[in-house]
Amino acid sequence: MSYDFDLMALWTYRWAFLRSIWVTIEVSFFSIVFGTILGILIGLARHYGRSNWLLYPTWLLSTVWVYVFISIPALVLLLWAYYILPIFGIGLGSFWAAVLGLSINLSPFAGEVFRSGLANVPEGELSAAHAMGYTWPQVIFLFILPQFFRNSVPPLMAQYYTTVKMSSLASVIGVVEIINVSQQVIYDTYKTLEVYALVGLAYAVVVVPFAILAKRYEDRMLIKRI
Amino acid sequence: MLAFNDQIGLRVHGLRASYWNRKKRLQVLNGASFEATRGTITVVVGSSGAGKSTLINCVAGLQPIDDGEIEFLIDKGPKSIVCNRNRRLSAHERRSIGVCFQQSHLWSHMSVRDNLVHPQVWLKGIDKPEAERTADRLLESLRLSQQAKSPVSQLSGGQRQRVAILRALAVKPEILLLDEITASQDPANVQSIFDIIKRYVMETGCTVLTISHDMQFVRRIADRVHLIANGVIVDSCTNADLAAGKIGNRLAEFTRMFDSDSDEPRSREPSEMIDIDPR
Repeated sequence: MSYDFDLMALWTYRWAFLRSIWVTIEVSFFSIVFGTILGILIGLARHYGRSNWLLYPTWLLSTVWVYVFISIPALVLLLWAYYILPIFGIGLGSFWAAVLGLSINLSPFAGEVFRSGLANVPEGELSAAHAMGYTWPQVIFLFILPQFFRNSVPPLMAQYYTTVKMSSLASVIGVVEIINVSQQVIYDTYKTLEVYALVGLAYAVVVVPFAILAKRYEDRMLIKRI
Repeated sequence: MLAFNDQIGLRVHGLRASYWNRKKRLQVLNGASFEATRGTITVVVGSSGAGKSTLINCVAGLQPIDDGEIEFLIDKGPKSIVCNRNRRLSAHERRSIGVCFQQSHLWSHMSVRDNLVHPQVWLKGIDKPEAERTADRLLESLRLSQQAKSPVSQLSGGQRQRVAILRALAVKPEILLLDEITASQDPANVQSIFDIIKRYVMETGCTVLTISHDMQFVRRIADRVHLIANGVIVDSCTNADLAAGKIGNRLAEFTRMFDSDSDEPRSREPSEMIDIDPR
């Protein structure tokens, strides 16, 4: 069996591809931003919610949230956001439905990262700072936050890559991102192999620069420790 | 010390404190009272679980007290600060108190040298170059210059403890609280620690409160020794009394048990050896 591998056949679709990469970046970016904000709230509630009975409802809510949304697949969340919300009068359109679904999908994972990041700030070191006369704002900014970022950034990055890759699911609800465009191009050209090769490359183009930046940040944190 | 006219630096009166352990309240301090004179080193001795660490934590303001008073005499700022169950030390007041914990609790996101520089810069407003010079001089004095730039995680337990002592000294405290500082030190280092603390006390008239198990160290460093048992100070003596053996029964019994120079073999109660200090 012979296959005529002809990447140039896709040249006419170059702008469609580039636009789709941009849409993937947009969907991922907004999902990561909203997912992280939700995650910070969940992490705070999960860590501090049990210290005070007034805050207990936040702990309960965040814990239920984590268990529920950790178990529901991202695809199901996207389908709910796109097909079920309009029934209740909330029509978001495919782009924002995808962002909502992916944000909610990211939030419990980010929340757990933040919770463990807070839990792993050594309490004895904070007591030492407190005993020596650092004020509470100083303890937060000079001791808790630096340690918290050092603990949280590497595992958080892994969640972010996953969100970028999961944005491919948005093609199901009609967001014109990489997968969606590639399907259309395949219908037009029957160049399955070339298109899918290009799709893999496109995700690498999105994730690799991001990974390099993250690695540089981690290295810098490591140098600071020494 | 004559220079400081036997002024009281720290007075603890009727101190009661407890903590919660699995919904059970454990009373640790039951009205402990003692005084520490300025320019002297006061050592509190006692077996595990007697309330030594709780005492230090209460004085350092890390643990709330149920009843009683702790009075500090601090030259800078108000003359005397009285703390009780409703009033704890403010952050500003705590800056006159240096604390060195048993587990050292060095800041792991900084280098060894920064552990000494950071509090000087942030708490005392000292310029960074000057703070660095002080830090280097202190590290040199306990043979830690080589480790100055390494992360805290690379130090041994003994080294960490020495850095923690230096961190407490770096901010030039007027009251110094030391919790079991010789626990993981070899004799040469114990001697250096002894020298540096003694010199600091002579120069500044600082009030030192320390707790220890090591009777050899206690004999060398202490100006006054208090024995704590079941959360109360049950016996006290001066160093001269301790050396001459003019001490009460409880203290004599304790020194026999923990004294490493004693002719008798170290005979600890088996239950005491597995007893884990609640702190």
